[in-house]
Amino acid sequence: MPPEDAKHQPDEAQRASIISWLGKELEKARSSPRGRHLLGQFSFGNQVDHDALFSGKIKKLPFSPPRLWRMNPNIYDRTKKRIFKDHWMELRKARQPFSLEQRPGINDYSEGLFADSATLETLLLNARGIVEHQLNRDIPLIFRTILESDGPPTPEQAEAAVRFQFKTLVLRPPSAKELARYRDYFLQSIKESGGDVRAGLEVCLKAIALNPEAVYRMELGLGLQDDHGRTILSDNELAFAIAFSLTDDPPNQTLWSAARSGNLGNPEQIQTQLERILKNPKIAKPKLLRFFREFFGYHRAPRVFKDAKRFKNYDWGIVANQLVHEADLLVLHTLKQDRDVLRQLITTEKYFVGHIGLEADPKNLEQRLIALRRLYDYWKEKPWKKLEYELEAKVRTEIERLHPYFEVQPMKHRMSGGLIKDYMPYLTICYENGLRPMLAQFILMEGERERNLTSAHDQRFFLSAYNLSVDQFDCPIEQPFELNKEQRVGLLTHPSWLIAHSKNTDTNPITRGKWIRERLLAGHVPDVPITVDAVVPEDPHKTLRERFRATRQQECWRCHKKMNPLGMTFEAYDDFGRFRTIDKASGKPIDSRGLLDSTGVASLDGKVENAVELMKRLGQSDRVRQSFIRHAFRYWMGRNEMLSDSATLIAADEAYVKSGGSFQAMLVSLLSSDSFIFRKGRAKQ
Amino acid sequence: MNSQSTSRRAFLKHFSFGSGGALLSPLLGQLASAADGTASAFPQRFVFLVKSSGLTPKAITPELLRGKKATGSAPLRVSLKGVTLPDSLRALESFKDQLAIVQGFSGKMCLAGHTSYFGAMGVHASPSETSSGRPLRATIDTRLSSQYSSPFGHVGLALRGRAVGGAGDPIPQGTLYPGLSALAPGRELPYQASPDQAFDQLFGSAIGSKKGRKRYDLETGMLDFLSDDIKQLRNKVPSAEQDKLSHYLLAFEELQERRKKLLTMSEAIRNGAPKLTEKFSSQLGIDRIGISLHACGFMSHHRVEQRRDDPHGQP
Repeated sequence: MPPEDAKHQPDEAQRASIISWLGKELEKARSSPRGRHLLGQFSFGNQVDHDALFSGKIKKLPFSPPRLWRMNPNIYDRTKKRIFKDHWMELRKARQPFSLEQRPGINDYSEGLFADSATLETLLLNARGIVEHQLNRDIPLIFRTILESDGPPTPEQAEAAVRFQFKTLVLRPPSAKELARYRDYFLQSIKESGGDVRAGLEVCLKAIALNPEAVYRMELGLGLQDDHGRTILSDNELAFAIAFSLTDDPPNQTLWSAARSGNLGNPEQIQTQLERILKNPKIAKPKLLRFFREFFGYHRAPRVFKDAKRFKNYDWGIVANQLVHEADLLVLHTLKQDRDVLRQLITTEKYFVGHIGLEADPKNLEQRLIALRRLYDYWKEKPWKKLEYELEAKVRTEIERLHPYFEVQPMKHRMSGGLIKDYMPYLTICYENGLRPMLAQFILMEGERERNLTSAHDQRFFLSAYNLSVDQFDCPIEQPFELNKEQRVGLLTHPSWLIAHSKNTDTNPITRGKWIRERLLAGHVPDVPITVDAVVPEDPHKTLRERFRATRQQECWRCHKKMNPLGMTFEAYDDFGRFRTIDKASGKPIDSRGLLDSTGVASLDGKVENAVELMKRLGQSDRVRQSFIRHAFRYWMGRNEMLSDSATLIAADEAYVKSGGSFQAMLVSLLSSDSFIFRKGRAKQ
Repeated sequence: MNSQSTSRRAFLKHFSFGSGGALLSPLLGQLASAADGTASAFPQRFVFLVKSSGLTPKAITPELLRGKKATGSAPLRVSLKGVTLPDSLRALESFKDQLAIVQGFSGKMCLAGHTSYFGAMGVHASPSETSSGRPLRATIDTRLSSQYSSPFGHVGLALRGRAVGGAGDPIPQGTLYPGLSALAPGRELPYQASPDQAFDQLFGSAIGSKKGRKRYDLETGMLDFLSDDIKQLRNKVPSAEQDKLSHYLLAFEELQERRKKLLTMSEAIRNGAPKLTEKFSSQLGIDRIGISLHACGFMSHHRVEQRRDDPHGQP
């Protein structure tokens, strides 16, 4: 280190040259394999300095590195569905070749995802199945024409077949070169098989299914170069990038037209397309919900094995799924309102419990309640417990006359004795206690069966995760509704989140605290040192907080101070997400005090009495909002942010704040940013 | 034997190589001597025959041992010497000294509804026959097959296309994924239910119907055609991204390697493969294929899945 004495210190010129050299070496490192590896590791994202990113001082122009991005499995699922349609057996047999890791956080990063021999084996098996289906079962016209003619196809027919298969599996039309190459391959294969047109067609169609562009999406930046060494994505690349950012489907007609007519070349034009897709309720946008699932992680609840006996339920899996579904409803509802989205998700006092779904019209729901009451009144004095599965025709007719809702059921969803025996115990409890039953329990309409997750008899036990009970819960028609604002606010006190971040038989304050530190505070917690065997000591006379005293030792507390004071506030909920004031094992009262500390924002630091207070404080914070936006960046860019992305992040944050917390506005900003549309670096060979 | 559930952890604790190898001693002993280099003729081929639903613990417990229970957490270990096998296992009487019956593994974690299908094999929740969940780790059959390399490391055959299900249900054909075998977490291996397709895939390189041979040769040409496509594309992408295409290209090359290897075995295949007659559409079709695979020295391991009411369900 240079001596403190002034005359031996380096002068400005020397300092500048050292810093410049350091900068160049770091640039080299960033494009080194190690650097690329870190860019592709979600867990390293927070290492990029938060304050620097949002300081406004970084003037570099944003870009992404050019890349190949392996096919997302959800996109492949949609492609399969378009081919097999309702042939469910064939659909199930075409397995998923593109496996994604199931780690917590965001996993679909372009770096580090490969197609290897396992991928190829599955793709090949699927290709055989797909082509067999296309040539024998659901035969497109052009294939049929070729198969039914005498002799080999004309070059035009061959090209039409190639075009069809490209659109089906590569999700775009072939280029002129590709068209010629595959056409010739098709015709050659017919010759090689001794004039067997079917065999030639089969092998050509299979080849297209295995084409590398059916496996990797190109994002190389094949468009024009600007004055800063960046190239913009080509029209084709942009069309795909836009379509796959919001949907799992390839670009539609409108988007392709815009691409081909050169109307996708600047941010405003891209924004027009994005807004069009976002505002159209008919276009499915599963990417949105998936982001929130991956960010919050509540969808992992069913993976945590729980002994159902501790929850008094024989089938724990269904409870966990129902809780996840209700968290989904909350997210979707908040997205629909699109106001103050993040703060709502963290601090809302309103939840969905036992609700039939977001599309429900309250007037319809009133009618259903009436229908159910009539059903109950019809059966209550009759021996419903002795019913056979099939209802007598006369009885069925009488039921259908009770209310119009019962008339419209299609054959397979008709009222059966089994359903009556399932409904009646719950309806009895409700009406004897003057309660409205949960409509989600009753399948009355076609198509609801898929959405309804709790249609079996003892699945009402999920209520106890909310500290509700079947004989006391008066299910509101208008939802979401205020559950218990002293005990629960937002997704982080939702049972699904609490369960997802718990152990098999215990809560997990470490994971919960780490989650907050990393996802909401853009902090970083080092990995557990390999010399540490982290085991919480058992002691039936102590609460978990007390048993965690061991982490107070100096070498442990260095890291644990970042997690424990945050995670301990959730000790007010057990490992099933149930609110409690007494610890069952030790009999002692729960201490749910905590501390926000070293957040990097003085006004955010300070003690908290419990998780509710913690959530409310976090909900107000700029840093939390910005950390959230960084994670949205990672999800949609498929990589970690670099310092050069600073302008993109600042713009997205401004768009969010200026629009009153509109997630859509923030997203449109991100997806029309330079980071999204420009590529730079890694010169071609 | 005991009828209580025990945990896999407890089982493994008591039957590690050193201490309680007695139960699995025939196999373990050979594995040990293979590791030492003292094995003379360690088996190179393994067959796992899986019998699904319809089997009760009593049916595979020798009468003498019924009702016996483990004490404490240690599993109960009993030798079969001098013990008569139950009826359903009578055919194995002459192999008793190589037989181990293991019972009582907990399946709690595999339950995803009415039944766990084959979840207990890969230790994962398997919600249905055709949607088998996500195996947590590699199963023992794939581990063994990766030890002993051969053109087809692992072959899965499904008798009559089903594991469980009623007689009236349609019988799936072609490739299935019953959730029995997994290569790695989330990577299930396929089972073939159609005798015709199995025949083509396994023996088509050397013999078979003219149609099958043609299809096989065309596919080989297709792999070459696609390799060229990949190489051309690879030249156009930045060097940092070429790795991704190289991986994909390597997959094609590995597939071609296997096909070349099979070509060198054509004679053995022709001699060992069964004659393709309409008997292959019969219930025993898959059986016949299985036996022929071994005759050809074709692969180290295969697994046959058997339907519960199959009258030919003899091991």
